[in-house]
Amino acid sequence: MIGMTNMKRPLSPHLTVYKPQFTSMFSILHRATGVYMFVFFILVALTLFVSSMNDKLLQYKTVQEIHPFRYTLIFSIIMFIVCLSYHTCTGIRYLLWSCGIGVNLDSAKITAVAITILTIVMSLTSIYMFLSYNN
Amino acid sequence: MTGTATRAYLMQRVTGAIMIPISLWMLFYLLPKLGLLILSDSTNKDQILYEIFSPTTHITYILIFVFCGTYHGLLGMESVIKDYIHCNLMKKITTIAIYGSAIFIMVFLTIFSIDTHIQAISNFDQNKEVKL
Repeated sequence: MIGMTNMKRPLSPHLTVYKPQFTSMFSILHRATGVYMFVFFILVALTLFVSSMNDKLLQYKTVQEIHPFRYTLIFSIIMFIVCLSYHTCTGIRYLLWSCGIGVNLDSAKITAVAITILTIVMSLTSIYMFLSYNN
Repeated sequence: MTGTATRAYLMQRVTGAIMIPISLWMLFYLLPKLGLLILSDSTNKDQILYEIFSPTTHITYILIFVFCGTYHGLLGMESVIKDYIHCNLMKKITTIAIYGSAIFIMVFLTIFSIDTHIQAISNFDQNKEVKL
């Protein structure tokens, strides 16, 4: 009975009630990228675990033998690069906010633009470096 | 320390701060190098593997990233679960699943990276001996 009443409670941040604001959007994306990276790490560990069981124990060469997942692997690593860039940039902002630096709307707007530019630059550079070796 | 919530808040920030330089190292060194290992068809993969995994500094960065990243992720996922899942049973199940996966990631990736470190050195040494 207690479980039933708990299930009917609204979600605590009331996401559907608030008008979307750029600060909340950045916060939601920060969480979403964090969740993606955690799931990515679980999948990486599982893939390496399964591939190490196939042949010799913990043999790195077997990672290349998962050919059906080759493009999935490349896409997920590129997504991981974008998520890591974004999460690092916003993470630095949250650390500064925790120290009480830049906690006002003007600074938030400036850092939002900085985060967007930095994320694009960092992820594009890293993706270029990642793919340019492929020849 | 006042309580578990304060400790979680502090630890999340501390692990996050530790991971900033290592994240940059991963973005601009480790992931492109891993791309070379995974994507290219070159034959000198032992050489690449040796370059990535043999320096003690690299393996230290990887292990710090695995430990701090998993702990940071665990704290983050716990707060996400607390915020969005309201059914007590589901909350317990997902929390146990998250703790289980975090322990799995930590233990397995630690063993894997140390083993790859040892293999990289030994493979490279063997190849050197064969070439000589």
